[in-house]
Amino acid sequence: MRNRTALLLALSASSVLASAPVKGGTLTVALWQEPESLNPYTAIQTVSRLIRKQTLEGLWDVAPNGEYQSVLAASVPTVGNGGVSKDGKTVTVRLRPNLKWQDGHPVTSADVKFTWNVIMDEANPVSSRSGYDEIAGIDTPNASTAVIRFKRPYAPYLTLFSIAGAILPQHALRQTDVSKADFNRKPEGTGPFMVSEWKSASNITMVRNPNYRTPGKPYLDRVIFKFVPSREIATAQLTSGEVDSMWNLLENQIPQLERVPGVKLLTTPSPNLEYLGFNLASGEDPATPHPILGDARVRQAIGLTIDKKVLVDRLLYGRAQVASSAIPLGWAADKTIAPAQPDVARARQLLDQAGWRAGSDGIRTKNGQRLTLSITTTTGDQLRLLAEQVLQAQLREVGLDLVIKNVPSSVMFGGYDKNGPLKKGNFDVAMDTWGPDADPADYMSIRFASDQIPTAKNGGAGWNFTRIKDATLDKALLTAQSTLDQQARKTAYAVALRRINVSGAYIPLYTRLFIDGFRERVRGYQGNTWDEFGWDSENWYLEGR
Amino acid sequence: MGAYTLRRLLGILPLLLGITLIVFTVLLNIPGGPLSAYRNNPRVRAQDLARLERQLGLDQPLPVQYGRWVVNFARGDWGYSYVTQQPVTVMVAERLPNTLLLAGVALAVTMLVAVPLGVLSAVRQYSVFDYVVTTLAFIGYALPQFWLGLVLVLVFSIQLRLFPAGGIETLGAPFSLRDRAWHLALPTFTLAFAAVGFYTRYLRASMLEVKTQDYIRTARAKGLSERTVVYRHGLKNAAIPLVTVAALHLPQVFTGALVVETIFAWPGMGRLFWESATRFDYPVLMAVMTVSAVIVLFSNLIADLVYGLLDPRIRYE
Repeated sequence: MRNRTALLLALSASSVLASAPVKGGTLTVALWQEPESLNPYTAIQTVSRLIRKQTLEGLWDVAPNGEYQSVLAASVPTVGNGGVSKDGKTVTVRLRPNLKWQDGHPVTSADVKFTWNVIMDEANPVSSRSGYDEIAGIDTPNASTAVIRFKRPYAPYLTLFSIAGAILPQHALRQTDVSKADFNRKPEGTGPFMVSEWKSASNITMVRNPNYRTPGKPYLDRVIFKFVPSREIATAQLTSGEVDSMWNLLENQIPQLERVPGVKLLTTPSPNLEYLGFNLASGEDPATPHPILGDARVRQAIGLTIDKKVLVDRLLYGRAQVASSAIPLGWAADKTIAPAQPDVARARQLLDQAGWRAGSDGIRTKNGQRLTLSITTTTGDQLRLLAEQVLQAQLREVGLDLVIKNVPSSVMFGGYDKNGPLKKGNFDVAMDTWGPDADPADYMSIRFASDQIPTAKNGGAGWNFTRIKDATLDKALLTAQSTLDQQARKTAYAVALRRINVSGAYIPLYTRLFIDGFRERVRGYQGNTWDEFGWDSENWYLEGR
Repeated sequence: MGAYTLRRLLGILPLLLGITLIVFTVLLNIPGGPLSAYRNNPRVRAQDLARLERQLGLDQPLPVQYGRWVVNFARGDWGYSYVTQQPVTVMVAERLPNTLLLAGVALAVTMLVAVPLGVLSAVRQYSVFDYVVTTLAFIGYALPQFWLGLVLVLVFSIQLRLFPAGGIETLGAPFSLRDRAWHLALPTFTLAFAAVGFYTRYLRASMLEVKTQDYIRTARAKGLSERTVVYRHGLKNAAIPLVTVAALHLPQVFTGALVVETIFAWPGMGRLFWESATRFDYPVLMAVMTVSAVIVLFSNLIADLVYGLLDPRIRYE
C-alpha cells in the first residue's frame, strides 16, 4: 500500500515538474483490435471511435468530470443559457467562429444538417438512429447557426452529434449515401490529426492537421496506430519499447508492468459495471415467477451472501471499485447509496423462511427440489470464469449450488428469433458488463423498463431480460427520459436505482478500470472516464526527442 | 490425356457448387450472425436491428440469399463486407500478396533445406548425421506452431531484440528488401521448421526404397560417379511421390497459415479468414472459402497430371 502511494506521488510530481511541451516526433500506439471502418455512424467498435476521434469531432463531448463541454459548438446549449427552448423542442447550436475542415473549407451549419441527412439515409447501415429519429428537422438560418427541431422534448439531446457521433463534411462527401464512400477509411475532419494511410491488418498513420483550431497544437507530427493480434503481443512491444503506448490493459497485468523500467500506466475509473442479473420469470412471461428466483427472499439471501470485496481483492488486485448501484459514476449516479454489506447469518435465516432446508450434502432442498441455479456468462473470459468460481464457493456456504453454464457471446446475446437465452428467459443467473454513457437514458430504459421485456408480443425487443416489472421504476425512468432539467432527472434516477436494488433482480459487483500503458518519454496525457484513449492527443508530446 | 483433363475440369463445377451450398448453409446457421455484435448495445434498438437486417439482405429466405450470391459471384461481383463496407475483392487483393510472399518463401526454404537433408540422410543411413537429422525432423514435426512461434518471439524479439515481434515492415520507414527479410525471418522459420521435418522424412523413406532398385545397381555398374547415381538416377525417381505431396500442400500457399499469421501479425489471408469468422462477415468468408475450394480442387488435378508426366508408366483413361 505504501509503495503504491509513493508511486502515485512520484507520478503526479513528475507531471507537475515536466518541462514545457516539445514539438514534433512520431508516436506509435499498439492496438490489439483493428477498426472495421472510421465512419462514426456505422462502426461500433471502441477502437474505431478511438482512432476516428483524432480527426472527426462532435458538437460537444464529455470532460473527465462527466460534464458536457463544447467542441465544434461555441457553447453547450441548455435551458439555462437559452440554447434549449422552454418547451424543450428546439435546440439552437452556434458553431465556433472560423472553424475549418482539414482542407481549409469552412465548417458551417449546413454540415450539421447534412450529417443528420446521412444518418437518416436508407442506404447507410447506421448502427443506431436512437434520438436522431426524434428530430423533425434542422434549420440553418445562417452559416454558423443550426436549429434542431424535435418532435417532442428529448432529454438526452446532448448524446446526439456528440461523443458517439461526429459532424461530417458536406463538401467532401457531396451525397448522403456514404455506404461505399472512401471517406469511411480516410475521413476528413476537424480534429488534431488526419489519416494519411490505412494498411489493413498493419497500421493507420495519422499526421498533424495544419488547420487545427488551437494554434500550436497538436505537438506531435505523426501518430501511428499499429495493429497487433493480441493484448499479449501489444504488451510485449510496449515492454521492449517497440511502441510508445498501448490501449487497454487488464488489472492483473498491473503488478508485473509496474516493475518494468521505462513503462508508466494510466489508470482511469471506468463506468463499466460487472453485474449479476437474476431471471425473475419462468420462461419469457413475467407473470409466471421463476421456481427459485421468483421468491424475493432467495434473491435477497444471495445478495447478502456475495462478498464483492473478495472478488475485487483476489481477482483484480484491489484495483477495481466495489459497486453499489446500476449507475456507478457521473452526474446521474447517486453516491449516497452504499454497497450492500454481506451478512451470511441473515442470508441463512431468509432461506430458512423461504422453506429451503439444509440437505444431507449441505445443499438446501424444498419439496424434493434442490437449491441449484446455473450461472451464465460468455466463454473465453478468464476473469469472469474465476469470478464465477469464487461466487460458487461463497454461495455453497449458505447451501446454494451454483452450476457454471457459459456460452459463446454470440449465443448469449443471440436475438429473440435465434432463441438467445437472455431474450427467451432461458437462464437463472447471468453475468455481464454494462457501460452507461455520460447520459444513461438509453441504457437505463432498455434494461429496466417493463416495455423492454422481450416477449412475443413486442417482437422480442428490449434487454430487460431479468423481466423486472415495477410501476414505480417505470414511472421514474419515464420522468428521467422526458424531463430536460438535469436536477429533476437526477432525482428520478435516484428513485430508479434504489428501486432496482430493493428488487434484488440485479447485483452490481464492481466497476473495472481503464488501463493504458505509455513509455516514459510520452507526456501530457490525462485519463477520461467518459471518453476514449487518446481523447486529449493534442496535448501529448515526446520528451527528449 | 486431353480428354481426361477436360472431364476432370467439367467435374469441378458441380463439385464447387455443392461445396459452396454446404458452406453457405452451415455458415448462416451458426448461432449469432453478423448482427450479434450490435445486439447488446443499448443504443441499437429493435427497429435499428430490423432496418440493418433489411439493409444487409438478411431478411430474405436462405435459398434467395444463396441464389443471389452464386449469380453475383459467378459474374465477378463478390459483394461488400458487412463489417468494413469495402468490396470483398479489394480486401482479398490486399491480403493475397502478403500470404503468397510468406508461404512462398517458406515453401522455397523448406525445399532447399529438406531435399539435401533427406537425400544425405538416406545415403548415410544409420550414420550420426542421419540420427541427428531424424531427431530434429521429429521435433520439428511434433512441435505445435503456436508454441514455437511464441517462444521465438519471446527469445528473439523480447529478450535478444534481434527480430521484430510481428508485422510485415518497419512502420514509417521506406520499403527495403532487407527490412522485409528481417520481418520474414521468424514466421518463415516457424512455418518451415515443421515442413522441413515432414519432407525430410518423406524423401528419406522414398530414397531408401529407390536405393535398392535394379536401375541404381545398373547405373553403378556403368561406372557412373556416386554423385550422378544419387542425384540423377536416385533423386529423380524418389522425387515423384514428393511432387504429389507438394501439390497438395499448395493450397496453403494461397489460403495462408492462420496460426502463424496471427502470432506474427502478418496481414495475410489466414488472418482475414479469422477476423471475418469472428465477425460473421459472410461475404468475405464465402469468398475466402470458395477461393480455397477452387485452389484445392485444381491442386488435386495438377498433382494427378504432373504424376503422369513424371512417370510415363501411369496412363489416364
